[in-house]
Amino acid sequence: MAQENSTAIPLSFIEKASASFGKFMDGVSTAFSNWITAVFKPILSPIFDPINAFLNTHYLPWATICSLGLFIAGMAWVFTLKRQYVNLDAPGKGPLYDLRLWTIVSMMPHVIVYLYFARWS
Amino acid sequence: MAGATPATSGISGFDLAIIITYMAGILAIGTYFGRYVKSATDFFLAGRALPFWAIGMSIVVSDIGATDFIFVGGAAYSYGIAAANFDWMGSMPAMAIAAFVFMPYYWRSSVYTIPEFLGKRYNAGVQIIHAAIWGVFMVVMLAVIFWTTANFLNTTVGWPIPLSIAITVIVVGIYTLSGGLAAVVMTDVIQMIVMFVGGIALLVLSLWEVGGWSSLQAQIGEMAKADPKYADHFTIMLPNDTTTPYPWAGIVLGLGLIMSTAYFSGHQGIVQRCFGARTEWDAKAGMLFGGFLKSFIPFMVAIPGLAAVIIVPGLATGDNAVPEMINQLLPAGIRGLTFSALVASFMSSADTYLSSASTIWTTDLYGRLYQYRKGKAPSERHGLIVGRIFTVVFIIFAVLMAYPIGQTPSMYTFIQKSLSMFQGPVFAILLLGIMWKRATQWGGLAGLVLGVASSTILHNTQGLFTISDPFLFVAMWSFVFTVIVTVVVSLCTRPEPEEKLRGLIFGQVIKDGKVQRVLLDRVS
Repeated sequence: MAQENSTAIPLSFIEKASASFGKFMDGVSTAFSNWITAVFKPILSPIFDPINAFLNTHYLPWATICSLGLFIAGMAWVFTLKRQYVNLDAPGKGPLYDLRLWTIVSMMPHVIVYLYFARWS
Repeated sequence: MAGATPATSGISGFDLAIIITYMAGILAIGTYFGRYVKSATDFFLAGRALPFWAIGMSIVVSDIGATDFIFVGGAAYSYGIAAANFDWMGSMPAMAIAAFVFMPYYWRSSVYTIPEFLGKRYNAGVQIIHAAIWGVFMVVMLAVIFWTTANFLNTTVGWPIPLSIAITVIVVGIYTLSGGLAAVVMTDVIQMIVMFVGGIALLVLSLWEVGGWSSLQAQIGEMAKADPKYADHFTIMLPNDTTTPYPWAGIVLGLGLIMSTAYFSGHQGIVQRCFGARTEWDAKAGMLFGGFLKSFIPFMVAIPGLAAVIIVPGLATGDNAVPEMINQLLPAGIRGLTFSALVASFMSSADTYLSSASTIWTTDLYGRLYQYRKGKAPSERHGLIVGRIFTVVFIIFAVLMAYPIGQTPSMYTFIQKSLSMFQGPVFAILLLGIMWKRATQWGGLAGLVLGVASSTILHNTQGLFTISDPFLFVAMWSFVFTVIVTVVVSLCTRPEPEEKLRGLIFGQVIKDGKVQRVLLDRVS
């Protein structure tokens, strides 16, 4: 609708130039992609085809374990860092200012969401 | 995408008054901060005085553009809750890494930009290549955002495109030009509050309309019996050979580990807020607070998109879902506020790109050239003047380019793809630069150049991956390739001197609080 309204503006030259430029870009992009595919696909397919096949056959429960694992590993990792490093320049000393606890609190909504929507099999 | 905002109507005079009042208020508040800008540090880094809560809120609103609001809702309508992965899996793990691995070193090295940090850690070649790519990308994106905002205002409020562009430019341009990063961040704070109010209203009314969450699940479950495309609407991790853009391995490895970390650690528009933090703690806390707030975004965007499956079924495109829901569900006043929230997210994206482009061009391109010719860095006052000149130049350029770019979606797609090809390699050299002291300047340069070449090849080799737009896998594998190249070339070249690396390497300070305090004092 916006584009229909805007045609009332005398911009026919810009429109034509834009359309030509768009076609040119599409043409260049397609030709480049075809050339890259012809040259590199025979080299790369033997590497990526087995990886794709492996990932395609591993779905549940691995997808759920990996997604939850990323959050849990993140929370655990923060506690391996030195407290002075994490909380340098904190305005206070209590747990309220401990960024390791902030990380747990910030990640928990995500963990709950992924647990809620998780499928295991 | 540019030009794709769906047609909506139904804005009342009251809604319009709210939108206009909102814009005028943002302009006034943003301009107010201009009185505090006296130097380049004030302009680009808000005088290094930003508190964590402002940083966190600003990061969220800069990250969530109105296009995300519309397209994540649309993707949830079409593909289901998996669309929310970009805001859940793609935020908190990466933001924790950004907070604890990258921010301390960025903040301590007193840099204005990511390319400047790469220049300190590696060499001027890495800095200039990175700055040139980001500098051009941001200016072109500014034109895209001006066009998208104007298109949105045209379809919702009925203002002609030129008038809509003029209003956006006047509001965003004036407050960014006068107040710099402080104005950008403080207007972002207001914009985030407006966005949350509008988003929560949409969520509550959407669920109310469909009879609650359980009813929504039951109704879509019934639809799935007749049409299998709804079968996975409540599955967050989809199989790797899915026809949707959300294969699980790409989401966990490509998005969760690489792309989102690259984004939150290496996107100038995001990390510039942390550079302006008043303390290192505020820089880290701002990132974590932003991650916490971001966890609520999918509830406000994706769930209304799911509810739209019931309320407005059979839409030609999912991108119409959220605007249709706003029109149908929200009463006058709240509707105006919600449209203001969408305008807010457009404006926030525009001010982010404007401010960051100006910073990169002033610091990494003009500043490098000045230093090369004069043998010294530009003064603070000089930097401020040049930064403002660049801001004006970019506004003019973006206004002139908005229409042609808006009319050429392939160009916008090309730019977006180009940037996604850059993410994996840049993240690899940033990570190695901080984590591995043996990474050398030549390793970094070779890794960046060959890494971008590898992602170009991977992205353009048809049929290599099972999904049609494999940018998540491209990011992941180009990251791996860049790491290998950087490591090999680094081991074949002379190590960097200790003096150059002091304060820039993770392991040097993490083990000893006293050492890092000394380094911090040295930097300040």
